[in-house]
Amino acid sequence: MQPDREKHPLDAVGGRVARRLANSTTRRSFIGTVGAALLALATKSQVTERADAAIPGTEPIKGNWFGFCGHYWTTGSCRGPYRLPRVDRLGKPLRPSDGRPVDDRGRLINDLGQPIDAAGNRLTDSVGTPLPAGPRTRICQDGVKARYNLNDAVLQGSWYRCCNGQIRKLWDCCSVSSRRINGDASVKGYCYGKRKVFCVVYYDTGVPC
Amino acid sequence: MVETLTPAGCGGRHRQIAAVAMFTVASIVAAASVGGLLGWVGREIGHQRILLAGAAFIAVLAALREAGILRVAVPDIKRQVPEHWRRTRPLPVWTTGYGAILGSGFGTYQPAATYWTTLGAVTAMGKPLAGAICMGIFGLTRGVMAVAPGSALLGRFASAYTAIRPVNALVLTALALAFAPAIAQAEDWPSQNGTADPSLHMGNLAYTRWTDGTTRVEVRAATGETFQFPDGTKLPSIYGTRLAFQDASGIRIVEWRTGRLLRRITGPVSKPALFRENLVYVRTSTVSKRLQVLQTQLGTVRTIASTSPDTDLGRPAIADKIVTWHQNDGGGHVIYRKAIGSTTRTVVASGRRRYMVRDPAMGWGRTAWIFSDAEVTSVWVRNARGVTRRVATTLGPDFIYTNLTVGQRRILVNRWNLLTGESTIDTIPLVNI
Repeated sequence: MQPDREKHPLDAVGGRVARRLANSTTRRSFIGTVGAALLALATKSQVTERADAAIPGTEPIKGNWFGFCGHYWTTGSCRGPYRLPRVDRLGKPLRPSDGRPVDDRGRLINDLGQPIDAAGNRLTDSVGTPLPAGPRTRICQDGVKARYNLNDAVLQGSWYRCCNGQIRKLWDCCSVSSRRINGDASVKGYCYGKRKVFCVVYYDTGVPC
Repeated sequence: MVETLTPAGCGGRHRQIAAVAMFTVASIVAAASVGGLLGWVGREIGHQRILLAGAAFIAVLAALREAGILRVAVPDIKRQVPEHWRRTRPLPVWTTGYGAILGSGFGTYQPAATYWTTLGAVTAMGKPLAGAICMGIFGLTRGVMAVAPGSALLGRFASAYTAIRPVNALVLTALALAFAPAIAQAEDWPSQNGTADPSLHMGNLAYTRWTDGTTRVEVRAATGETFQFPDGTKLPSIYGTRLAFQDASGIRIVEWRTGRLLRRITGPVSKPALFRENLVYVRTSTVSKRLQVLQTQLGTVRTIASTSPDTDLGRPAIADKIVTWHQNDGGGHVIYRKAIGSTTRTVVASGRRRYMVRDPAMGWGRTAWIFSDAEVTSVWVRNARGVTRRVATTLGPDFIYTNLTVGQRRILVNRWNLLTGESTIDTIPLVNI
């Protein structure tokens, strides 16, 4: 046993705190508390990250638009294979970067709907068998119906803006739902009749401006 | 024939309703088809002034005929509808057939010449849709005639025919007179598919011709000759004997009759507008878009406006020393006007987010621009007195106006069909503005 040395006042305070902590909790509960705190911290960061992530089509971008050029209101984009809701004249998905047709999984497809690579060759599985054609559904009429159970979703009113040197047709996907894809109250927008805007897509017309 | 569309003729009340419905629909479709076809023919012929003069001539002939001054036979097929059809054919066949024959307008007797006057007017319009609507109404009246209560009413009409004819003559005379201002203002420029970006000066029209995605500038001289420039050229601006246009390397100014190159501006420049010695254009870089004026004799360049590269800085217009242009982004849409050398600019027109204004043009003391709200685009004009008026509107949602040019009595505007990707230059007469 070591002889008692003269204690510094701070040492004395620290010793008292340590003894009180040791008396008030077991080792297991202490580890549990620390674990819970760490878990809470990690969960909080994830939750916060998810809450902070903007719904596609609502984030302010250059040119004072929301999400993509020409979109001047805060209603989110209709969900498709890509973040940008680019569609063809029928409302089916296109790859935003170059306007090539894609299926619901975002794979490039040929005229027969079969998945292909960038060079136009059929995609194959691991043993070389060509992959079959996947579904290619209309983002608004079919996609919104399937994802959100809004059977009346339909592309209706539109407006035009000049984007990247061509006229872009921005198109409201409309439903009688009082909620929009953002989760809050929907607005009338350019929808007809009793429908309101649920989400938005766009179609690049190729018309120069 | 009408008496066959009765319960007795059809075999029951319900069959009569079905018969009248099929007769009316067939009549409307046949009449609208005739109108649409003639509108298309008129558009393809293009020479509106000649077509309008022809329509006016038909109206005069018809008026003289109705007044009893001239004896002119009306082209028709002098027979009734095939009566045996209703005994030998099923009800849907003979009712539809009767409707088509009567709706076509010339399938049976045609006592009045008014119908042919209408056909002349529809052809002169050169608009298939408008023609289909006009003649579709004629088809509808055939259907209404079929549901008119019995022959008594028709009999009264028939007995009043001699009294109606002078009135008809007066109406046709008024119609013939109404053609006069339209003929005076009509442009012989054929409204051709595949033409865009009109620029008009002293009767010479420059435009971009689109063929399978390839562009080419053409000039149609006031004398009727056409001058073509190489593939890849577009967005012309004509002033006197000179023409500026955009190509792959920048902007060229040439003498359009000889093709002699006068000046070349290379680099990321676009959307030229030429007036006397001043050339206005847009220069784009990674950090900005600038609207610049080049004084072609002195070689000096002034910057009129500068925006971020994400702003749509539109095709400018210049008249004397005034430049107008549009600046559009998500925050709003503005058409500005500024004198070269001035530091202040004024707003010609503006719209917040929803309402877009763009593509201004100037000429003859007027400023015109495109206004867009949702699917509808329209052309607005403001004259020197500040009077502003809408002069044309697209039907939407598949038609859109873009570039335009202002003449003395008309505006030429570029109308795109978003369904077919085709462009047409429309002529809009300017009346009281």
